[in-house]
Amino acid sequence: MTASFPKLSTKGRLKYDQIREKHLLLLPEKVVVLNETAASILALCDGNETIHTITGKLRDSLMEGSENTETEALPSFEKMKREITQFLHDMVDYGWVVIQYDRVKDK
Amino acid sequence: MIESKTNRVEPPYSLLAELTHRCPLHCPYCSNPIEMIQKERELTTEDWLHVLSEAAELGVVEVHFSGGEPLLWKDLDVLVQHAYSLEMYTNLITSGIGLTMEKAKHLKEAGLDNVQISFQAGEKTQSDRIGGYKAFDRKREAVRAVKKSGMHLSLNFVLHRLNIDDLDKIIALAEEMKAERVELANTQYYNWALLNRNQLLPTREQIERASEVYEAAKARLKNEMEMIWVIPDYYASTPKPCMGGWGQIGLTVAPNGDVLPCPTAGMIEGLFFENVRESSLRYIWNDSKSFNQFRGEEWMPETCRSCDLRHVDGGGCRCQAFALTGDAYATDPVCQWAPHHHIIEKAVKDTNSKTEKLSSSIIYRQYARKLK
Repeated sequence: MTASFPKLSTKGRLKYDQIREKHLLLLPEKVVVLNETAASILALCDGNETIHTITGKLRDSLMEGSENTETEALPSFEKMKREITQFLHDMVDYGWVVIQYDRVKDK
Repeated sequence: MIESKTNRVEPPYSLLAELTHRCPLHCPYCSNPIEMIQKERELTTEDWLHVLSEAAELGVVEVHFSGGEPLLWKDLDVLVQHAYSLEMYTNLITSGIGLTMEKAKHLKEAGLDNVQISFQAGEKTQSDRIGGYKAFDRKREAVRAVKKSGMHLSLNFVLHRLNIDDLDKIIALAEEMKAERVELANTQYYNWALLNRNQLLPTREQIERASEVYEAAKARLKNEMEMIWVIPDYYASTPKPCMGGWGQIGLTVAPNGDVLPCPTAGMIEGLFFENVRESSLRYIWNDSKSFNQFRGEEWMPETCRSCDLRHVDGGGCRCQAFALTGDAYATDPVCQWAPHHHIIEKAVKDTNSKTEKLSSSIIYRQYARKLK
């Protein structure tokens, strides 16, 4: 199986808007207001992570951020991975994320 | 207590910076005012830098540099750079005239994200005839420059009676030029376009054929090109909402510094628009009379107040209401229930029953139109 590396489309830019206290995805002629989770996932879409590693990193940051360290509070790894896959699938349909089959090489 | 949602002022997302009304093209559907702002009254680069800073503080995250032709602004790269430093997404809306490889490279380096280039048709002869200027080849060069520099490319085609039958050619051109986004914008009838409505308004049959071409292309190009279809509102039964609502999403600063809720609002007589030279953007957006005039629902006529669709279309476009009825408070005549809907019906009927040659000729946009 080939590994795939989601990457934010070059036309899009993430911004944390201090005035609205919201994460935004800026696009030509469009601004998308993101929730925390969507913003965290998209921030990891740099072309160097697979959905598997994105899921892992997201879980780590969610566990770090929460007061109690019980993993029971989080859905299972597989469930999260499925949900992230679905989310990224939608993002690809919108044209905001592209899937690459090679890691982005450093310039 | 229930908070009145309609009267809460949220910060604006976008700024349309109309740097100048000067433009090498003479498109007869131009939405710029009939009486354009002359060069002597334009803001300075210093003024614009200040406007951008104020806009960012107010919450603006996207800026569209437009005009006229914004490339005629010699310090455009300075403005782009400033907007970029304010973490704004930057978009250039241009005819493409003057966008050389070197210029594109400079603008990209300054932080420009997206370039939208207009074409007047799918092929040279017609494109140049509609624009009243030999622009087509230079537009193609501009497209190459944008692609080479690595910026995102959008194309815009304004559709009307004279070019809408060639929509397939238009889409083919966009594909060939590898545009990432294409706007197929049916003419909206304000200012110059309204003057020329007789010549520009397509027939129902033309619209239907074009919609089919658009739908087929959209399905076919789903993953390659984002396609936007701006509706021909004369053929709709309900009006378009005014730019997401009067004073809701964005603001326009005209070349002389007047601040408008939309690019055409200046046509509404009896409304006074504040100027960035005298007032702060924050005051204008939040507290000025002009921006609050049509916020919420209190201003609405009975036709809208008693209609559930008011939440969808907000009563329609204030500029269109004023342009067609002389009353900016009227329900947009496009609405099938509007008391003035007969105006739209008549225009549509006339254009669909035309058999003879059009009697009057088209009026091209002129920059230095004599003021009366």
